[in-house]
Amino acid sequence: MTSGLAGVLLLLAFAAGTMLDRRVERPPLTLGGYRVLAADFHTHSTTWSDGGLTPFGIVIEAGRQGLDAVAITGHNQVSDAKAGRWFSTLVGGPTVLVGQEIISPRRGSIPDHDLIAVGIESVVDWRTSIAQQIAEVHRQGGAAIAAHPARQYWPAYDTAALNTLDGTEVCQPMAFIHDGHDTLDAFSERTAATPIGSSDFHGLGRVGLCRTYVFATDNSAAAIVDALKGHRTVVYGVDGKVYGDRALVRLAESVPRLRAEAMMWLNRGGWLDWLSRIAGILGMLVLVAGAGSSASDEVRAAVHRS
Amino acid sequence: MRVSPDIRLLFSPAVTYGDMRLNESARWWLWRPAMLLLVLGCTLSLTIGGRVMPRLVADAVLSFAFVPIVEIAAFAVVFRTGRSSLPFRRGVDLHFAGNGPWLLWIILVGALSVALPPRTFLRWMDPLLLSALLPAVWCAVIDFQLSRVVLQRSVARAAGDVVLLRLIAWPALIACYGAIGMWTQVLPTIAPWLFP
Repeated sequence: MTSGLAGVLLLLAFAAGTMLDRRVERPPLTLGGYRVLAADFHTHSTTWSDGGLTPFGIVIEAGRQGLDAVAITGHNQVSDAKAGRWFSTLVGGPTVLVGQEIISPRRGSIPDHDLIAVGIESVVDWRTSIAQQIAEVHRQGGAAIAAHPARQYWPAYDTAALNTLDGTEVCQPMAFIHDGHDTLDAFSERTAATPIGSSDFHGLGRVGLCRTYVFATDNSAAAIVDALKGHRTVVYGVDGKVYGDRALVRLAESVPRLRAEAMMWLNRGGWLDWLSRIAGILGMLVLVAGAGSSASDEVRAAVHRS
Repeated sequence: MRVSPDIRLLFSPAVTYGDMRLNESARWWLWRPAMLLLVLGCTLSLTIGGRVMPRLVADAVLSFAFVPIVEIAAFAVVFRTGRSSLPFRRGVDLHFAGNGPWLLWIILVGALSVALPPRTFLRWMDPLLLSALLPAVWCAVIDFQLSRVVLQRSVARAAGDVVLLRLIAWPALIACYGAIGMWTQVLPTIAPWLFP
């Protein structure tokens, strides 16, 4: 009986979830002669990285979250990003930028740091200094972004690194926690790098939780990287503060839906969302609570009969 | 309504395993591993998409299929280190019956991710992750009783089984999920053939 009840509840959750599982229609937007693209530059897949979805799942989910571009940034590898790019081309999904989160633990005189590389094709050596890594990213035609620059990573960013960095995360999950927002703000003031919003997606939040509006000439990976290098980005922070070039911010603010989409995490959903959530949680609880009951009952009944 | 053995195991593992050992399950031996995957899939769908969606559940099930596989492999090693009259498949079923604390903790994480605003949920992330110590210890107690009562091993052997299982399963799970160093070395070699 419990299995039946769990089944009904889970089916209800699936049905409500499926009804809401639609791609967000986002008509192309052009402002100031540029195509405005919503992008997430920091995601991890479960294939060779500690994410929550396969590269294919990230591509589909990025489309569902209204993103035009997504960078899949595996830890010190680029294979899952290439798999995601291949898949997205196949299904007509968002632009996928091949990326890498360069994880560099402390090595001798080189301080601990993390760096996001997007628009690259091969793995960047994590054993070199941050300035050398940025140079290698540029040599490959990509852009380098400071990943969650918490104070412990600051010593790695010497003058050379700060001067050549293309972007720095000003909105990402760290901004939601304690003084993380202030830390990201303080770091961004040390560099002229363009502001970046990203989800640092690991499975415990949404793809596109924080997003970057990129003012690009088109939606190709090369044009997006060019826009990053040209500092043509606008980001809405956790508190609604807008980051970016003043002229571009003014253009972005003239289209209210950009702010609304960036702050989508404030939307808790409608009744169908809650039906799916509650039925799903209850269904799982009933499933676990009744996991062995009917099986044991059957055996007991059989023993009793005999 | 009769309380299921999985729930009874949470509070009296020795007695419940004693009862379960005498019974035979009418269910498929991989029913409980499959249930673990389904719970993981539904929870990830909640944390990622904010609702339960077959697309996300299927992707998460595929992504985390290694969890029950690693757990079964680790249990197989523990099972083979001693003699037992119990069939291996029944042993796997009973071992997974002891995963209740982890299942409840996973569901709690999923529930909090949708019940709390993202800002609050992310602020509570560290204490939440720290709270995983509770199911970790709870499951160790249940596993100890599995070895004592079901596999009928001595106190010292049962304690050794608990440690051995974790020494195999946890590093393997971490390696599958996100071993940066290992994959950094291996992937550049095989990637050109996979995605030219």
